[in-house]
Amino acid sequence: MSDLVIDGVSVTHGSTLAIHDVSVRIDSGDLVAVLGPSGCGKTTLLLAIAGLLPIGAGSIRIGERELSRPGRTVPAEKRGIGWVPQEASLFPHLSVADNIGFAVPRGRGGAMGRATRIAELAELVGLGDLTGRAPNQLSGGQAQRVALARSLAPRPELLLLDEPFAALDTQLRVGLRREVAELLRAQGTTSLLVTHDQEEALTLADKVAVLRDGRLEQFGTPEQIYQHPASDWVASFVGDVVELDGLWRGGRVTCALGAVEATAVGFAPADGDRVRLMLRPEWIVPRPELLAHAAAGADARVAAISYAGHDAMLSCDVVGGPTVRMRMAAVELPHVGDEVRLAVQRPGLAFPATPLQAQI
Amino acid sequence: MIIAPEAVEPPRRPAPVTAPAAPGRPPGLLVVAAGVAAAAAAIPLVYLVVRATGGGFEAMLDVLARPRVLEYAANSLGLAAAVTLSALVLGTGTAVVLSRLRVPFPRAWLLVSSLPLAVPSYLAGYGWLVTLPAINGFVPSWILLTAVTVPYVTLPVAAALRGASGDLEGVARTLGRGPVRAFLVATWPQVRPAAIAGSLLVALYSLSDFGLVAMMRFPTLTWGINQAYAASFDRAQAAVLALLLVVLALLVVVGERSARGQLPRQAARAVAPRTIRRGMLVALLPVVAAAPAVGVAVPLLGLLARLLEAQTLRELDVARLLGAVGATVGVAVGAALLAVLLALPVAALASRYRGRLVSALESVSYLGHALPGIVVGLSLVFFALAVVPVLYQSVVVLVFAYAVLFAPKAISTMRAGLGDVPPRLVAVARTLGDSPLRAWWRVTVPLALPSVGIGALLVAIATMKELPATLLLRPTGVSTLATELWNRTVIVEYGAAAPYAAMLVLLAAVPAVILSGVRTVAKEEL
Repeated sequence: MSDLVIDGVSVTHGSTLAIHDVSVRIDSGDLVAVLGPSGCGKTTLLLAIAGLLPIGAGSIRIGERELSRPGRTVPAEKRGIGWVPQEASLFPHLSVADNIGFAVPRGRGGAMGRATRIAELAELVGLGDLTGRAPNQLSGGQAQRVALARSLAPRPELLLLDEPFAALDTQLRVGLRREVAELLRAQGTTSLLVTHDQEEALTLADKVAVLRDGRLEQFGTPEQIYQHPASDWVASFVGDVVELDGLWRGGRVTCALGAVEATAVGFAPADGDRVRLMLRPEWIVPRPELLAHAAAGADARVAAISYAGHDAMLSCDVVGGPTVRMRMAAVELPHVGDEVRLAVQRPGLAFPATPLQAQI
Repeated sequence: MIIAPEAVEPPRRPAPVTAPAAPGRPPGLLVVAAGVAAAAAAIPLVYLVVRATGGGFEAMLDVLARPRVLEYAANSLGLAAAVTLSALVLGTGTAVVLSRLRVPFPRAWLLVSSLPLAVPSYLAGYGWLVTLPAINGFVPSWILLTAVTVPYVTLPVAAALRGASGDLEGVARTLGRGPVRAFLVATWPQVRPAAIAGSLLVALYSLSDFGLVAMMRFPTLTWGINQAYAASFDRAQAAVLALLLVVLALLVVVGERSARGQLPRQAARAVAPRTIRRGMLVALLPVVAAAPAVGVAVPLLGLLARLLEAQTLRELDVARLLGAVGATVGVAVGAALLAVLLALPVAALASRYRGRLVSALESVSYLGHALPGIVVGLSLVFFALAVVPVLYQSVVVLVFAYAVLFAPKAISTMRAGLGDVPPRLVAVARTLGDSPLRAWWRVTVPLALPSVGIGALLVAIATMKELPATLLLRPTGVSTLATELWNRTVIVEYGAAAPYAAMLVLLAAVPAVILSGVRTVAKEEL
């Protein structure tokens, strides 16, 4: 097993540049999520790695083996890369067993060898007794299991999963994706999972690559992506944010919530500069005893509560200031109209006052 | 005949963002194979042009200026225009009644209204002559041709009506339009392309028809070509007439092509059929039944009556009948095989690749669709005599003529079938270790096989019904059911012709009807 290296890769789709200068190194055995809004080029990147699209610049390698460079694409069948497409895409004319065994050669090892391997794979994905069925007799989740078993059959060095859970209903999705992640980790298969679902990417992956308009915005662990986003766009794409205007002074931003400790992201502000402070809603807590320690906080009144079962999003009107949203565990919730004292429990993120794109 | 291939295909996905596109350049071997097929399809037209212009431009003008020629051309155009107009009106009306009104047994009515497609025009003509031996001239030709061609309008218009959004019509009603005006303003524009494309097919059919007009002794270009050819001292005139007919047919095809492209398919809620008063229904259903009655019921009843007469049965030459059946089935199978063989590379190319070369090859391969059978027959007579005299009057040339004429049917069904195979499945097979050829063999071929079978069957059925090219090209001593029926009808031996007509109905029309029940696509392809 060796690492997958994507080095300065660009892909053009027709006349449009779908992927622009993307470089990522994926360690052997990792499960990496490629996260981005629809149309950002995630699937294109996956197809290029699978060898189903040629690349216009850069190179794709596994270890020392070069798979793609401009003008030369090792064909998909010679790459040893598995692919689980959206909507399973099972061969409709073949049974479940023959779908799973598509890449298991007949003949060598005898019919028994092939049947054993198919049964083994069906067992692995939890489909033991369905191998005689036709694809149209399967549910969506079962079809995805078959597609997964089919792609694992030739023991690929790398497995590509293209939004495999997108078509499933919420409950099934949560269960199946956890199961699949465990299975892939147990097999030690390096995998790349394309998704537009932030929660899926953060909960499943060892590393997350955030893609936007064909460019790599950030590559890091889920925690890095969420707590230390590389840009304001990533910050608001991977989770909820509270934005406040303020003034930068010596590592703190003075705003409606007081002087909040903050890290400047991607620029170096001078004292007195106008900046935008970004906080996660759960960084704001109604705990007055923290105020002394955090030195940032404010009195507020609860304006609205959006209840989500396990937690709740509160909208609070800061006295003499804007409305901020905060998330808290839904154990002992205040009521609308209650007075609360808000504190910020960890350093925020400071971005330039005007969004970067607008400056260009 | 072909209803626009595009119209029977599912809408193509807009951008291949999620499905991997085929690599831009088609494989060289495939292009070569498609090139061979296109070249084969081009032989009749090219050789006809060579032959017709061979005598020089002045000789051509000389032929064209003859008063008989002008009369033939005027008759052809007049008949085609009249049939097209009546088929357009009757077909659109039928489609509206069947898809917008609550009719008892709607599926059965739709099947009945498609039946005339299965009956060759000359068989309808024969069936009427049996009962009314005196009919001849323009009016019977017009009525019978209309009856057998109406489904070319009815079926696509009914399909378009099903696909047309009824919401728009409702919106127009809420904005103050009456039902008729709402239909005209909201629905007709969505249906018009299908109606126009269908009418142009009717025009093409009328221009190409030989059997019916000849039985009705109405001298059109096809009839003139046959006359000029039969009087073998004037084959140059036959060639010039054929070229004139081809020019007219090509004009119609160009018109059809430009009309068919405008059919935008959008997901739409269908309109629930409206319930109307019983009296109204009783008044409208005869309109729907008119074409099947005139084109199918009356001829078949006439045929049946004549068949069951004692004299017919007494004179029946069983050996000869079986010989004709054998010859008919034999050439049909041969033609189906050759046509599928020629169509396969073209369909494979056109279903996956775009580009000027691809569309040029495809267009040339569709030439047979525009060429009247008598023109292909005539041109291949010339071609065989001049280029491969060994094969003149051999089955090879006859089967080749069928393949050229009917390969477009195979191309369009197979193209749709191959195009329906998701490229993603092929890509999955590639990632599982299959080479492109192996993936094609293991995934594309098994999934597209039904369309190949249907394409072959369509060619076989069309071959069994073909008359004019068979008359010109059949080897001495070989008689098909169509030629036997023809030869007896022209000498007014209606009784002796009846067994052959009945066998033809059993062999060609019955499978056609069954096939139309199997797939709606096939129904529109007959």
